[in-house]
Amino acid sequence: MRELLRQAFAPRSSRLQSVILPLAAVLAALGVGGVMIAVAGFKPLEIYASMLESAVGTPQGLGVSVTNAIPLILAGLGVALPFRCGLLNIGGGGQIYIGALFATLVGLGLHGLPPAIHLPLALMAGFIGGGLWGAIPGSLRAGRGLSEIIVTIMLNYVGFWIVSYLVHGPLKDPESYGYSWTMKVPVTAQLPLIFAEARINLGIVVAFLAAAVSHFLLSHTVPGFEMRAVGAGAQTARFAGIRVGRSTVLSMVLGGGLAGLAGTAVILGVQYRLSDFFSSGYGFTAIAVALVGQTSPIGVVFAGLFFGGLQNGVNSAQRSLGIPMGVALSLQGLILLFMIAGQSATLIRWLRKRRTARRVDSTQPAVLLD
Amino acid sequence: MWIALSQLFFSIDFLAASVRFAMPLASAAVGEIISERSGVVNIGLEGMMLAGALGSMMGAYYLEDPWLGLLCGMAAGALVAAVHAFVVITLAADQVVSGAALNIGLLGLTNFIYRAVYGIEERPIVAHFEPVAVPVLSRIPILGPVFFNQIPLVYVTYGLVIVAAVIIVRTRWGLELQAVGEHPRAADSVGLSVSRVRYLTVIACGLLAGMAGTFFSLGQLHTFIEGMTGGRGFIVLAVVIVANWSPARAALAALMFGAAEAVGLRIQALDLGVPYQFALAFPYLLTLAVYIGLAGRSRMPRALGQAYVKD
Repeated sequence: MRELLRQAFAPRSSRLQSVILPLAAVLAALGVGGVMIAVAGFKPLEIYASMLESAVGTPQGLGVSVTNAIPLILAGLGVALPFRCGLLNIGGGGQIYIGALFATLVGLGLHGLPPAIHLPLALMAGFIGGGLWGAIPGSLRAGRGLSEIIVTIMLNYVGFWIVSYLVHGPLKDPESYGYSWTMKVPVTAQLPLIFAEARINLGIVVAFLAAAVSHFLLSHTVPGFEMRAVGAGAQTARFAGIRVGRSTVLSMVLGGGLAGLAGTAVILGVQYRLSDFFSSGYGFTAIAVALVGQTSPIGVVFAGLFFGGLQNGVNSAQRSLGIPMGVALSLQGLILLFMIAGQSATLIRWLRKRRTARRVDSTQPAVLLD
Repeated sequence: MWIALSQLFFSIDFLAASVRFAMPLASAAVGEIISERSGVVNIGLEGMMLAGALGSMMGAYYLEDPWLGLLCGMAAGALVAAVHAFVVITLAADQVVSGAALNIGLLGLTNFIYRAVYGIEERPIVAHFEPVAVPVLSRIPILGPVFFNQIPLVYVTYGLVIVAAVIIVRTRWGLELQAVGEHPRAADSVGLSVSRVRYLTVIACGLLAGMAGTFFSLGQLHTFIEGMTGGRGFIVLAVVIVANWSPARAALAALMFGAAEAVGLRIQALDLGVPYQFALAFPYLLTLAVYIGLAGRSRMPRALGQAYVKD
């Protein structure tokens, strides 16, 4: 972990490398995935072509990809920020549900407000809900040294079952018999469409803004610098007078809040009703998004758009060509493995050694001429 | 009412169910302990258990025998573990991220393989394990029916916990394993191959996780369902810490979590007016509470999570 964190903290070695590595990882994963698809009796090229076509081929398709990307970017930021502080937030799943719950409560509970007030209030509530759910592992880590990984995973289940209980019980819309979900949030709390034809809602602006604010926070503010210093080495940061615990809690609150916003954006922008089945593994995908985006907020935006398109492509290919849904998660896992393999110290050293070896070879003839 | 309740909770059935739910946790926990004691964190346990569940189900489907199925499940777990080992030992990449990648990937891959092979028709019921009463032992009052009237996999796990505890604490091999996990450079300097030891422990962990997964497919449901391990792999990570990396204590902790699951089922079955969601959340809440209460007392292997790169 420390090696990776040191890399995350160090200034990017080159802009080129930060683009080439994810691209190479994606291509390698598509290659291995293609073999897998072929073994299962499908035609990988046909499937990939159809995925690409449905993900970006039409305005509607592009709209679905971008809409998918909204929660992925937000939840990806929710992993990336704590990661820069040396923490792995696997709790996106629970934070998404609790954030969505808070936003829904504000959405349903307040009446007669203009959208300009109601919507920001609901968004803020979602951020606070997720932030509270992130504050628990953050403060347990800071105060008692408990693993944020284990606490966040357990809170994923607890958060999910809380929402499940509420939407089947006290919050259930009495007029919907078949489904267990809440009433529709009023229009004043909904994220309106900004591109009607492609059906893209205002959530994408929220996601971009969140990325911009995260970038500014990490790169241009003192708390952001402290978080990165803690990520680079908690011990050193402590000697430098940085309050490690405070940075730890702050990064988890922000991370949880961003994940909470992800859930909020799905409810207020797409579903309009809270249910216990709206989040399809966003928490896990968020980890892939954050790491493929090299935990930089700007990188997360691109990675989120990519994974949003991938999800859309796999969904369509499942409908039209019958490939199993598992392809999307399989590819995510493969991409992640290739990412960390590509960043690994051993591989980098090996490449460097080969390069110097080649240089020695090329000097050989000159020596011989002497 | 309380008397009736206590009778139901402390009935033979309830205790036997606790043991049944505990054993997959114990098996995976022993594997994780072996791996972590040598310095390698494996949060990919959940994925390896899923691979084991599918592998053993497919093995039992084609070979029509649960024991051969078990071997296939263990092989599947080991195969995934070998990938983890290569990435974190040979490539010295990040252990936590590799494990997370495996969890994500295997959730997808097991779905992909299952659907590609069996389609979306009705799930096949395969050759599976049935409870077998152990002669003599099963007739001990209370303990007999609780511990010795179970599926054979449970008995294998009893043996495993004992063997693992003895190996780690009493043998040369166990000492080597601990040396590598506490101070790899020192172990290296006396001629131990850190990477060889770690490869072996990670693959052993995969074998045991594969067996844990087999409990779900061949022990409980007799088929495969996507994500059927339901986060137990993550509970095991907490079990290991709470047990302070000791196999015997891990078995006890596993029993407690098994009981939590059995309580959840009871709450649902008794219809006490408690929402079923609370019953289903209970094992995770308990894990969290116990982890918060006890984790501070544990001491983890010193080199845990750190790649060892030779100079």
